Amino acid sequence: MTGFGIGVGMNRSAIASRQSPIPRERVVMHVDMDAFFASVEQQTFPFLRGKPIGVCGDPDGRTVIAAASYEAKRRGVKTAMTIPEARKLCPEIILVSGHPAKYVDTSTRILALYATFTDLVEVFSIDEAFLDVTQTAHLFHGPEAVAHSIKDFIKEHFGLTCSIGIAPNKLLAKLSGEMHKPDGLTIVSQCEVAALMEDLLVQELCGIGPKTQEKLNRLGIKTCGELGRYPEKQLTGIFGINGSHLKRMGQGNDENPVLPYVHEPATKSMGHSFTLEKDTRDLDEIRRHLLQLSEQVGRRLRKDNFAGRTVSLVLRYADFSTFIKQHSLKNYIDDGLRIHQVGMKLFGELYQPPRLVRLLGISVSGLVRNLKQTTAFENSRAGSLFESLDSVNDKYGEFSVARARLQERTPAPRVISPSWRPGAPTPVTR
Amino acid sequence: MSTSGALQTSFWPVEDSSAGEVELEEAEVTHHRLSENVKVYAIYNETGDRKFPHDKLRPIMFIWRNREYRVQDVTYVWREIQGQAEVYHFAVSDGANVFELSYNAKALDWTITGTYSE
Repeated sequence: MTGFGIGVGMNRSAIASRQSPIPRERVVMHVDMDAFFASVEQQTFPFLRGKPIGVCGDPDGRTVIAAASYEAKRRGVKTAMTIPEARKLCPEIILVSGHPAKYVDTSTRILALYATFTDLVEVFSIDEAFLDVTQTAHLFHGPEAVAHSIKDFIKEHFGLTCSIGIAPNKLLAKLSGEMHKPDGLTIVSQCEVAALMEDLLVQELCGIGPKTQEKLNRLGIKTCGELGRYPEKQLTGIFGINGSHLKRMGQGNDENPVLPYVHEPATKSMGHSFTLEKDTRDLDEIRRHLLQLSEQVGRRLRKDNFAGRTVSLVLRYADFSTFIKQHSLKNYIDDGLRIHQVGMKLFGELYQPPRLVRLLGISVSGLVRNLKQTTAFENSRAGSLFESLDSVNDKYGEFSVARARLQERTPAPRVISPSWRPGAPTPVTR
Repeated sequence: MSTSGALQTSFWPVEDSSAGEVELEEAEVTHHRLSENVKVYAIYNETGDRKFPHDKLRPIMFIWRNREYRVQDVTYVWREIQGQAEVYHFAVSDGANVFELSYNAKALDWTITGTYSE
């Protein structure tokens, strides 16, 4: 494994002077920002540096740890832990409210940097991306030099660090990037793959969760080497079509291309959910929350010129039991009030009084785009009113004009959707 | 007001003027959330190696409540779209505290939206 753990301080002039022909094997890079949200907050507030911090939605609310600093991670604090769990492990943890706008802007600027090296940039999440630099790395003195340039830029502009893995495919790039954190750079070439996979535990692979791991373990498969050698027929007998895929994963193979986010599959649904500040059975409060969520969904639909026919309601009780029900309409809708009406109908069918409600969610699916010209579109007479209201909210911000019932609305939660993708690129020059 | 939480943010509308100031205190961090106009001296520079609009503007001093603060370090800068306005947020340190100064590029005005200290 000669390529493992290359230090970031290696001789840059040696890299720059190296001849870098276009490689024969794919060169995929995985860039992962180290403890992204927590590091941004530590950079913003110098007095938080070197201290265990946890970024969450609301330190006094019922949110979970969205990101922990390395100081907190060393104490066992992990992402998605509840605040009491984190405090138990690390009583001195400093909880910080997240700033989604700050993270979104930082991520957008970093993505703009990636795009200066290749147009094949896949956004994996707000703090992770894949870059396929097979055809372009030689223009920048090779993949290692690209990785160093990215690291230098991020350090210089944001004071942040990232960990980078370079490998022949996405599976291995992500795996190698996670081997040395924080601030690591790990390179795995094709000739090293078999040795790397032999003793690697299957759960280390991205895409193998606890349930799949358990099933594999029951078959006597603990390592990727064992998985790669296991008869494909038996794997497909248990896992269906995924059996073949699992076998290839065990062998370190992954043919999935780096998919630029502009080419990602079309949106299938749009929705919002909200954990209430306190569990409630107050129907007025529930109605107001559902209206707010419905208006948010309607606004997003109209912004992207979508309309949908199926409304789904998610209802979670205080004991975490969760129920989902949906209803399909004859016509397409994008009106928050109409979504709300269907949502309330579903709520009436689902709700078991006097149980306490913890979370509400509403979504619209069966989406089509640019349907406003057709007669199948419901509420087309209201279209001009929505256009006017939307233009006011575009100009002055969300909910500048809203239904009177939403005067006492809940502030939008400080969350970033896992499906977040950057909007218009931020200009960047190199 | 005292809470068991720590750092809070001021992105959501708050009362204008010090009357609306909210103090959130904990052992480690104190945050005053506010929204007041502030006089800021900044350098605007379009030349050189400016990769983002964020890099063109740099606050160097501000006067708030008749007191002068010299910016020792701009610790973080980020942009936010508020309606049609681009708002640039600057977290700045005077060596003791961190202040959040926000520049509305449409209204061309500066606001102080928070102070943070240990």
